[in-house]
Amino acid sequence: MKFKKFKLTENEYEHIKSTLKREPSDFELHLFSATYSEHCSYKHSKELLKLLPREVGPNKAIFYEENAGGVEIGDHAILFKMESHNHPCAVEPFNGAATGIGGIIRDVLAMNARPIALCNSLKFGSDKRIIKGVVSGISNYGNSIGVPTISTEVILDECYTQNPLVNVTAIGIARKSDILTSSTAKSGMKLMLVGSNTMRDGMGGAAFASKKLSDDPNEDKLSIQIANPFMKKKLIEACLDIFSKKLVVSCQDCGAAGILSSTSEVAFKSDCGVKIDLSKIHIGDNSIEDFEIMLSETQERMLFVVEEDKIFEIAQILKKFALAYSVIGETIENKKYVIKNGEKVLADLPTELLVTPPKVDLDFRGGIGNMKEETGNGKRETGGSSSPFTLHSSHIYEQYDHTVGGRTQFQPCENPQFNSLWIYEENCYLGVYTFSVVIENEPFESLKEGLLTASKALKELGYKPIGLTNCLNFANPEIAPTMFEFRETILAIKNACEEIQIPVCSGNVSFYNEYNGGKIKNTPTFTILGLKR
Amino acid sequence: MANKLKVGIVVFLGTNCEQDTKRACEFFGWDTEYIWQDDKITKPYDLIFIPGGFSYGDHISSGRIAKLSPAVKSLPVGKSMIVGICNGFQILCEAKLLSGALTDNQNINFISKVTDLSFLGEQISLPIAHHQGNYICDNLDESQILMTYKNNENGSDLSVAGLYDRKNKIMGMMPHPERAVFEELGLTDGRKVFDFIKSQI
Repeated sequence: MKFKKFKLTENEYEHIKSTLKREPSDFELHLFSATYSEHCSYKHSKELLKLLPREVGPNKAIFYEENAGGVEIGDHAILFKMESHNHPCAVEPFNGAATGIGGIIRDVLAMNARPIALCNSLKFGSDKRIIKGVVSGISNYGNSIGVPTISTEVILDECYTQNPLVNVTAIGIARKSDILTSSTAKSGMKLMLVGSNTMRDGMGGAAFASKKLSDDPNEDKLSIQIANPFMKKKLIEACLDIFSKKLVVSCQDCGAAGILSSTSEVAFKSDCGVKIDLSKIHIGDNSIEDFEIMLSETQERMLFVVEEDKIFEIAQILKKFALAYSVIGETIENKKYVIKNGEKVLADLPTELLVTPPKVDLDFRGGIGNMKEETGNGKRETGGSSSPFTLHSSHIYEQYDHTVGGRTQFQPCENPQFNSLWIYEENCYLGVYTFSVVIENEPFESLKEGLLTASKALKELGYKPIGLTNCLNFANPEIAPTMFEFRETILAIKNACEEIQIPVCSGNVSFYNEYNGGKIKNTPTFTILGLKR
Repeated sequence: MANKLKVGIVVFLGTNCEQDTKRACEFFGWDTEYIWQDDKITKPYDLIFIPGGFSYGDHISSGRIAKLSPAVKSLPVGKSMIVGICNGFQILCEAKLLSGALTDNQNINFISKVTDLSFLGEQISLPIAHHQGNYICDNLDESQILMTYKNNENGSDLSVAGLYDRKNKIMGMMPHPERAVFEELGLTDGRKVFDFIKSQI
């Protein structure tokens, strides 16, 4: 069956066909295979995530539907988000971890926020190659771009041996009045693609993240993106310079499903359409095929929506930073997603159809079999206690530059999971605490307890909790009891946040953390922010 | 009020400590501006900083490409006081403006921590954060040693953490004094280094 080749369900294929009233082309099916993937569409989690509280008592989340949500502090906004890069780290730990940071930094940057800190939460099993690769990937990338890695959580458990969990939070600061979003494009504007030449790295990364790891890690390696921290640093400075001059109307980073998802998201959120000509895109591989240009996840690229008369001035700034760009198309009034290569039309789709897969049936059955069949307890590494093999978190955090940027208050040796940033713009301190809950027993109770304990810890340190971001690492949602535990988790977060009075500002869901013969213990991870005047 | 110190901070593609250095200089009330890598230095600065970071991504080796930039080639040696911090120290060594070379840390890893140093006979604590801070030199004029590590974390010859060529008014150091200026961050020993720099102008 054709739809299987494109990793679509029969229902999804029929939905596409009946809406279009024709057979979709192979090129179009490639697009759907990415936008309908779990990673891009959140089809198993979208409805439940709507339950998360966005405004609780005096605290409210801002921009939670954008690349990164946040909280207001005076004239400024702290924009922050946590993301996972679990599958890439399983097959190529160094680049997997490095591009994980690259991706989350772009989310903050796309909103015109300067990234000011990174935190991570790492779960490993006994594969030392993965540990070494992930840590040096984070060290190499984060240190190079000059964003301090201020805290780290390390949990060791055999269940993560083949499927490590690498979750990273990026924190950025912006003036409230200067924030950019992906929903402000208007028709008749130009689309500029800025940064790296589009190549074949990271092909199908979104689909790769939406299935369990395969038997053949070499095949999976094609989905890995290549990190380029130097290019990222140039992109950060160039973007902030360009944004500060108000030359860009709307911005979206190229993350999962690259050009496809960035352009379709801008079009959908801005309620317009786009027309793109692939022959205009600056590429780094002449043999790349049309659909590959759309799906490539080459790192360090941003999409700007601009007025035509601003292109010259933007180009001058890009030249200073030795960055390439191309004007790849334009926004149109008609809510269509049109892709051409020269004169040849490759895709002509309603934007809404492209980004909205039909609803899936969710399996909420719980407690099937014995979900506690794995033995061994998650062992928290707190800098020197015993572990299955010797791993001191000081080995890890001493490789992260935690003081660059001149905001970091504490040395990680005091408490690796907690740190505080000096927000000199508003004369206050931002407490940042990152922690996980490894679900082993009753999900609701353990989640709620974990959140309340974290909030209490922040308060005891003198910080008033103001918001959180999360990364929900779960197994295959199609197999019970994953969705049951996921729903319990969401309900617990909602319940705890209402009690603590903090909103959920942003987040990420990572399903399919499975490999042949096993799965992880479901592990929600959080970064909670507190304010001290 | 006496004339303000005129300070220039050289910025390369990949530099990442220029803002921290500028904020520290401004804390001391110095008149500070950036110098872009592609521009020749023509103004009569009292003091020029080459800040930390990863100029040109540390490609090939740290400082290897930055030394070829118009800004470094036009450094007013002997006229302005020149101070390289971390990557700046690496660039000054690469450009042969200071003797010796900075190579991979003995343990091969990046090292980021607050470390104890001996500076002009006094013990101070400053952050270090580098991958290539292992100083090697065959015929070092030991009178140029400005600061040394107490625990020699990176394996440097003679535990050298910083140098000062008094004749040419060129200073280089791996530790980051600019990250230890503000009381809000708990470390203020960097002020002693800035005070000394000022005294040498």
